[in-house]
Amino acid sequence: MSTDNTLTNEIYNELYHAITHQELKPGQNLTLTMLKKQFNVSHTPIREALTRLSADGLVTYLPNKGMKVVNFGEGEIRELFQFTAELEVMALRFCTNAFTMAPLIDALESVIETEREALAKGDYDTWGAASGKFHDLFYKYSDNQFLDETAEKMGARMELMSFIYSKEGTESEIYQRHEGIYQAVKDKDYEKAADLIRAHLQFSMMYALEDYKKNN
Amino acid sequence: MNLTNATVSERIYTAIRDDILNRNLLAGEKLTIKKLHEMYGVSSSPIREALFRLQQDGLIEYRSNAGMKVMEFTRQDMAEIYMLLTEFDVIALRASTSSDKRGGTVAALKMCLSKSEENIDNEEWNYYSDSFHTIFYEQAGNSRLTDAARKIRIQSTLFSKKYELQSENRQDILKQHREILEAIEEGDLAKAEESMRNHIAASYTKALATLEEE
Repeated sequence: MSTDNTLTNEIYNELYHAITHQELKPGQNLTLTMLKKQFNVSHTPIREALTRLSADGLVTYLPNKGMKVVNFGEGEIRELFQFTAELEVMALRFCTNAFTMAPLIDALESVIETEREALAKGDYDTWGAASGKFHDLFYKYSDNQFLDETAEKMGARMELMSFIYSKEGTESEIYQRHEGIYQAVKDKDYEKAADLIRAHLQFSMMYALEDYKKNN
Repeated sequence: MNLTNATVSERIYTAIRDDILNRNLLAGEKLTIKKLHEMYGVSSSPIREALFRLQQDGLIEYRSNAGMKVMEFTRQDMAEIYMLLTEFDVIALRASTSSDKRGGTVAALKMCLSKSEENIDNEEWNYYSDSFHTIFYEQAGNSRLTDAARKIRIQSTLFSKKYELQSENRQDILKQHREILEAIEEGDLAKAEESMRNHIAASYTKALATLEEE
């Protein structure tokens, strides 16, 4: 790995975190000058990092306006959640093609337990990581690389959304919904699990929309 | 001591096989005649025979551009192996628990379980935990079934050797084996079959986890 690559990675990771945790605000300008000053590097690694963030959908580039942190409108928020819900339902359906659901169920159980323990201790950082992993599991066990690719593409934007909708003490509610989905999968009631996935994402969308209205 | 070629070939086959199963030779590692000659100190003819057998076992593979390598398993490979393993073991279970064979099978399984418990903390465990499954095939007495399942069983051993290093996994396996035996003793063969399927599904889950550790 060249020094350049490591630098790019560092800058990318820092900006990724800042954006997905709303430390950089939606629509905020990101100029090369500002970033060069902040990170004290040449423009090459900064450009590379911004290119990756652009591919993630976390920054947008407008010809006369430069790079900005992405700013989702109401319509976009709705579309994002609708699409992710269907993608996840598709992932679940692919999972059911496997000769056994045991590995998925085992993994879901493990994550749910981590969520439960973290909530009991008030460790919201651990809970957050586990709650993100919950959704990832359906893609992991779907064993379809193209679905994986697509989910990966949506990942960064959904991470931003999840930060937004899991503010304000919704953690416990989210955990309950995860538990419900896990139970349905365990009971082999995949229709119910699909409905619960859609419902779960609908509720999360409501919080995201509320937050949007508050800030716009 | 004078060793005939057959004995040397057998010894080297066992040595390489054990090194693969114990992961002293790693997945994807290249195996040239020269390297094996250096490692084991035998001539090329018994090595070639051993390599042929290991290929039949599904533990090594030959790639035209890369030569012989220790087999690397993908998630797809594992799904295929464990799906088949499930069905083979169920066939063997059925064929060894017909009314006239059931008594003998139960007796063998009971002994195996008791030895498993005794050896749960040492190296002998692997032999007994594997025996539990081979008993069904032996009792079924269908040589073609045994042959058909052989490669799959050996390939799965690569994974079980790894996850059975953890004592927690040994406890799980012992419990699942007991469940299967109990169902057979009760004469509930449908339940025995379900328990067997659940057991192998659990083993598959553990095997997938070992794949990730690599």
